[in-house]
Amino acid sequence: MTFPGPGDLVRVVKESPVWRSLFRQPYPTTSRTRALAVMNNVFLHLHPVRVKKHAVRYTYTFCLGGISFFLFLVLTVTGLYLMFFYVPSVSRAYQDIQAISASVAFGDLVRNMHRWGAHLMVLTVFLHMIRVFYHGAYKPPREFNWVVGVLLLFLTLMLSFTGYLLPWDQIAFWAITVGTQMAQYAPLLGPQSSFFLLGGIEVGQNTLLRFYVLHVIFLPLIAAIFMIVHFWRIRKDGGISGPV
Amino acid sequence: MTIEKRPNATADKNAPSQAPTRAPIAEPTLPGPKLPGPPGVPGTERFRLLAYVKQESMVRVDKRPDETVLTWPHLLRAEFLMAALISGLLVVTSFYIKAPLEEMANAGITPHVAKAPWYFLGLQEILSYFNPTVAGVLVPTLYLVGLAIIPYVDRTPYKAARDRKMIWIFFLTLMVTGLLVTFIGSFFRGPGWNWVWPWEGLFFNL
Repeated sequence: MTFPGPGDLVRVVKESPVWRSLFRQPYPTTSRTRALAVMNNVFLHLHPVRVKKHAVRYTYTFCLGGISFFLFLVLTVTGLYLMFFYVPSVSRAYQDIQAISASVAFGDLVRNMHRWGAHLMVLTVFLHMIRVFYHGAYKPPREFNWVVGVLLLFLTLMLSFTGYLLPWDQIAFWAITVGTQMAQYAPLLGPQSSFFLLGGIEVGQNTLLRFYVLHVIFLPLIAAIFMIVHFWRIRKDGGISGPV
Repeated sequence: MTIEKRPNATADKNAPSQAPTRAPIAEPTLPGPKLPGPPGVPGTERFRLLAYVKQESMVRVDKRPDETVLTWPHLLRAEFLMAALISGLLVVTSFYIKAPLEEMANAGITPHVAKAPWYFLGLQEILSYFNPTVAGVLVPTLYLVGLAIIPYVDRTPYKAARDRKMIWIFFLTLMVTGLLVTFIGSFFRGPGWNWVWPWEGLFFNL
């Protein structure tokens, strides 16, 4: 007499209608099933089924674009967690940050990850641009995707800049004061644009609320839309560019 | 590759070379090493490289355009490893290094030096050279526009650095100047935006 072992349990689970409705095919082991897996999965189908050989070499791209996108995802998740404990009000914001660091579960770790991840993202986006220039990957038919990339660089800087104010400490306050003072000197609409940005004549409650809304919803949404266009165009232009 | 037969050792460099004369078919000749010899003697002609014609088309004649690998597992493995590496790096860094948090914001207390975030410190440095309209508005606008128009300025199909020197110089100028002023603004500016050596005091926040 044989007793049912763990292998039998795996078999029962894998043959159950629930499992088979979740995973429509077994773990892919052949070229055909692997191709199907990439094509049929909503998350994987961002990729083509096959990629150029040089494209998977680490030293070709250094994964800089991918790392930038991954950091965007990490920042979205960590930022979402921080939003549960933060109120964009001049009387509460600073105390909320202190509370996140001191008494929220994993709050300190998540806040640090959000901060360091943001700095790293600015860096990787810049390095990605340099890599793309080095390979001449802005050449036809990829001209407009380079422009989209420059816009994404600008959006990354704006995302980082708007987030910089949110802790509402001295670093934040004066950095944003210095940064937004430049807007006053814009030709023609200088004072108006500064007022529009700050919601007043100096950094205050309106500024904090504006930067918060820009930081947590408006800019990420715009950046996500441009990322979709960026990735879509890579696919439509025949994958990443060839070596120099 | 276009190879032209060299007429003789003292070839006229200005001679028209549009229609290279075909090299005569070498007659089955004498054994022995092929050494440069007098013109016209079969088997001893010298040739020179006139031009290297770059491949511009995706369609290759002698090589199939199928130098590809499957996304699963090759690309997915690379992506997974990189995501794991960056996650690990970020968690470890965040575990040991705290994000800065100073005193609560106070419009009444001006710090010794108010610095923008590090990626704008180059701009702030330029602000100390030019008037604010130029430094604060025109420079960043032109910088971004200058980057964006690169594909429309450099219209050659070539990718090697030596074939697009002008755009390389333009791009490097933007990058190096940006890096330099950012570096100065970050580590060499102290109270009152005066020059401070890094070992005299660091006025830099992340």
